[in-house]
Amino acid sequence: MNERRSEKMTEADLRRELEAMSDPVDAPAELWRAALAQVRAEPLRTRRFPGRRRVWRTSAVALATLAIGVILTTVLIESTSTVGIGRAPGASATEGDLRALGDQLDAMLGVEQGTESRLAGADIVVGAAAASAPWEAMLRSQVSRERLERTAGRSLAATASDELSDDSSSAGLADAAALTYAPAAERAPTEAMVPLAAGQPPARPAPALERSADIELRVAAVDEAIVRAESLVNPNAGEFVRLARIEGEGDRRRGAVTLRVSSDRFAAVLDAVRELGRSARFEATTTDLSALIERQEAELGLLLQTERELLDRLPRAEANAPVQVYRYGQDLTGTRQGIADAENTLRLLRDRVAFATIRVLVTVEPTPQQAEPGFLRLAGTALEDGMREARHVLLWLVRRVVGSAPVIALLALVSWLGWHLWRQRSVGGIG
Amino acid sequence: MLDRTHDRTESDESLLARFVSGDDAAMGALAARYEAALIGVARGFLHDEPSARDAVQDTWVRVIRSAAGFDGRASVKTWLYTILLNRCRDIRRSELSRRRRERTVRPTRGSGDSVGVERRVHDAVEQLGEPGRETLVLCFHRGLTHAEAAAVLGVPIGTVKSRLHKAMSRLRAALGVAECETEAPA
Repeated sequence: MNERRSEKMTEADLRRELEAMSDPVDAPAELWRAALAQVRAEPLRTRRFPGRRRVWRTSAVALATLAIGVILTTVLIESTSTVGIGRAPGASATEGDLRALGDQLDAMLGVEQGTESRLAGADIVVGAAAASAPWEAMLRSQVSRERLERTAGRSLAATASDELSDDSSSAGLADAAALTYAPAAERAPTEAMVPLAAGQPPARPAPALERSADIELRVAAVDEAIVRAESLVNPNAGEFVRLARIEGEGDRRRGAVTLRVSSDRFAAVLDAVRELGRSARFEATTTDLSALIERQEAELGLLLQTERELLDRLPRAEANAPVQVYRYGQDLTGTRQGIADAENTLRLLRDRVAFATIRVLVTVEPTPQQAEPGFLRLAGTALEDGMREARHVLLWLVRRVVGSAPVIALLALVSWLGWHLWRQRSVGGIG
Repeated sequence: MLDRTHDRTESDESLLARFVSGDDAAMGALAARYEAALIGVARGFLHDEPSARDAVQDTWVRVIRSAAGFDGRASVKTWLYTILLNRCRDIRRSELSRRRRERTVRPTRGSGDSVGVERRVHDAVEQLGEPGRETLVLCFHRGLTHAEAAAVLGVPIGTVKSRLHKAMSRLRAALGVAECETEAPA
């Protein structure tokens, strides 16, 4: 290189050489003809389709695939979340259909096998209007209500039933009032096929409710609070203290008392208890015992009827055969034993309804920490808070990502298509 | 100097559209405008006329195949040069790879006293990196402005100017030329 530098080169020489390096050649244009012939000679299937057409074709296929996936997913979700009976819409329901639907709902609600169903002792009344209405929605609503009442209590059933009614309000539920049930003993057989008038609510007796409440109080003096809680019961009305216990010392002193008060005074006593201290926890439960009481009453009535019949037959049998007298005597003894058991059960149930239970747990109100927390404690608390928040954010993100996966997929598809189009249109993308 | 690119009565885009609609003569007119210039630029990149002709023919093949996809977002001229640049890069890479496989060293200059100014410039340009070499060839090509060269290279015009300045400085240093005020024709 150094020896070549001995030749003198000026800036003008350099520029001239650089320009000459890429000077156009002086020759007729002919290469394009060879290129055209080469492209024309290619088999048709190896030729590229124009970019834009290929992009549209790809997007059409992708969108169709996405649409099919969404439709299939929707159908799958619908088929697993609803109860199908396999009958054409508009057909009239039979009791067998209703029972099959009930069994499926039992399975969905987790009702144990062998549990006596309230539905089993009821007659189904399917109104004439139901024959032309979308009866599946009506059955689903009514039977769900029954099962929910049986498993989770009347209040829950009312809420759930309202939701069900709202969900299917447009599906002929105006006719749902025509579908009802009633215990067989309370209704004449001829009423079975008579539908109730639309809008008329089915008659129901006042529910027999068992009430109970759990409350946890923070107080300054545990003993005093327990004594005051015990004083809330009224022995003259049959109310009593079932349990009273105090244990521990100092800040660990705690007491518990269980009150049985008249159901009429349940709310008043509960308010009084809550005034004894700061309520740290409160939970109230209401259970509907109407069905159990009705069933027990029906069983008792049946036993009393049997007893009367036996007593009627006994004098006539005494004149005929001692063996028959002995048999009637044994039946009578068994029946009276059943009557006694049924009356006991009935009494216990009514007692559960007549008296409510209030369980009170009393603990000492903790005194606030006066000392300033140390640096390590503050750091630990901050770290704990941070980790908790991070976990919440992570969970939120995961839920968001999973929940919006279809949207993300769609956006990804659109982005990809946009990028593809841009690349096709950009100057450097070809060649 | 033959400058066919200025002999035009119809726009390049119109000619391309006519070719897409089936008029092969339109492609002939387009080639008449650009083929000689394209061969010149390819020769500047590859320093070999047969390879340059191959590159230009490949460029026409790609243009013919993709003509229907051209939407006018860039000018036809810039599009043609971009395709040619990409094709020249491919050829240079395959050539380099072939040389490595054969373990042979291609002589980059002539022997003895036959080394002239042209060869010295070519050797010096070869010593530049790919960005500098491409910028130099495109900017000193008489058919392209700096803005068009920037569009072909896909970089901002400021980048083109800085690359050009750097490449010229290295060339002057290699060839022993005193620095001048102006860098390249715009």
